[in-house]
Amino acid sequence: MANLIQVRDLKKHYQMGSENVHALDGVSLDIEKGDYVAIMGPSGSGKSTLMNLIGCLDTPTSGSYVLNSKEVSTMNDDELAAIRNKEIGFVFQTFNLLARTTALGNVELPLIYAAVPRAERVQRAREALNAVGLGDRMTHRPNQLSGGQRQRVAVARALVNRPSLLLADEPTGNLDSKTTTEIMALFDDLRSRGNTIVVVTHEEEIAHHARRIVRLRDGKVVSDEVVKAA
Amino acid sequence: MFRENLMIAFKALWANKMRSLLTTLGVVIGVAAVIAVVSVVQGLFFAINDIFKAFGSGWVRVMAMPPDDASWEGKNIEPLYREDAEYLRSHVPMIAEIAPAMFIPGQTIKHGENRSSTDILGTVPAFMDVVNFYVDQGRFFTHIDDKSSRRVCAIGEGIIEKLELEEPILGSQIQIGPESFTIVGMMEARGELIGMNLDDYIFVPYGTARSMFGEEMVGNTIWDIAVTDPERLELAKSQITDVMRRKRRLAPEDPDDFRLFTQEQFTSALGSISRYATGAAGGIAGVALVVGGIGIMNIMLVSVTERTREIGVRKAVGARRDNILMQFLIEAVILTVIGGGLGIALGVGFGHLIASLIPQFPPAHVPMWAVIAGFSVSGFVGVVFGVYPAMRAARLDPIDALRYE
Repeated sequence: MANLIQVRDLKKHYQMGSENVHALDGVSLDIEKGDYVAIMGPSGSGKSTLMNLIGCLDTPTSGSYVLNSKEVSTMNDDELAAIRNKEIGFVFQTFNLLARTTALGNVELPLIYAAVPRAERVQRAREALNAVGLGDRMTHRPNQLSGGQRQRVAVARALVNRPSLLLADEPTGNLDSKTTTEIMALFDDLRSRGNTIVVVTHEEEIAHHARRIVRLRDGKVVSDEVVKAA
Repeated sequence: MFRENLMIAFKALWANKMRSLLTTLGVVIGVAAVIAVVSVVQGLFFAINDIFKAFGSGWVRVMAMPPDDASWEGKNIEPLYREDAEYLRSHVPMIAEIAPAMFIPGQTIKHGENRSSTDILGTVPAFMDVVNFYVDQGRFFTHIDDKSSRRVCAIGEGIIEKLELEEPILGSQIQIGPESFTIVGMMEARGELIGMNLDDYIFVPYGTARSMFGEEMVGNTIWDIAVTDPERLELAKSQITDVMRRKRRLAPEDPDDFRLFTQEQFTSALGSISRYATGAAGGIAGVALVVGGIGIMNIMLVSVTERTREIGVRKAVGARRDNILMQFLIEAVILTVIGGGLGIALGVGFGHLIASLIPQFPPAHVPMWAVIAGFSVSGFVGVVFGVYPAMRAARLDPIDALRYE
């Protein structure tokens, strides 16, 4: 199967005062289309940095990152924004929904920046919300939704523009155990429908929902093992 | 995208109604002040303009006046004699009609027990046509009244009240100075304009005025002229000037010892006065707008900081820098334009209020250009003072923004 993500010797350095911090120190990784990967590591391991780079929120100091056949590591701000819009769907620990906007409006957001005309936007946003089981909550504001429902809205938003990759950062960190189960079931369902999913987490239980776990330490990959059969 | 930004802007402003209102107050006040002043000045301008327009575009007034330079100090000015008016008419083909008028201020008038004081104007029958001010009841005077210096008069409407005259007014006797006059006519109502009350004049024949008040009043004479062709007013003016200079025996190097006034001079003088007043108001408003703009910039910076997370989210889902820039810039402009609209509404209200509170003041008039300028300038303030906060927002790093508490 084709490689959706191809990372070669990715490095990210920061200048912190007089020190040079090596957040990522040469990471190489391949992720196929349709795979379900968890990225784990203690704090300081570089997993957040790797996630930001995979998510095209940042560019590496050196190395190459090819996403869906496009070399992303040398793109400028506007090009990265376009990639984020088309290829990547984010799900955050703190949901990051717009508080003054309805669920429908939140899901429409990526489509607005993709210049999709209004009627089509609303139609697709509705479909996305239906797909996550929130068809009856479209006009609710986030403060009228439970934590689990908010995360579903976030998932719907992440998928509405049909991205290549769903990138989740501690997606159940702010949810109770029951809702956690629901959301992880939702992810399994999405994977079975062909989505490629990358979850960044520090919880073993969450990581084991994935097919494969990549562990980082001190900016390098220390293990990369398949934990589920397909 | 623009429509979406508009909706986002309105929503954001509405969510913080009080704050938005206070922020835009500087713009509201600045615009209101200018509109109020401009409308009051324009109202005055229009009213005075109307009065002078009533004289017609072919009207020229001649007055004996010393020229501006100091060389004439102490010298006597030759007054305008009636005979000279006749000379002028016969030597200037472009004069259709000429009406000399003698102005006699502050005369005591009596009727029965009532006493008052008013200004008298001694003039000729042609006066009405030249000045476009007619008798409403009865008649004006005839050439015979004039030649015979008969004690007849036509009164302005205000005199009825001043002397408490009763019906029938025509034919009543009133006393002007030491003499008794018969009222033969009543002039049409013209109304007041800051102390110049046409309704308070009494009109008597020129010959009568001259015989009563003698030569000393001849210095208060003006000549009102109607020219044959208003299109060629400048030519008429130069013809009149040439003949006057000859008659008054001025050497080629002497300046004119008389002056010609036309409607255009008054309107252009008024025009420049109203421009100065408007300019002054504009200057003051400019200060208010700058202060207001700084306030807006400040609040927009706060707003950007408050919405750092939101900006991060938008960028994460694909907003480019100029998307974010536009979002906040449009918000600033909407804020200022709404302020401008409020300012215009308030300014119109204040203008009308002020005009109605000053006694004998004409109503305020709001020109369309002032309204357009009000909106444009407000919008401009929004752009100028909104661009910096908008750029700050656009330049936020999405990773930092998403981490912001």
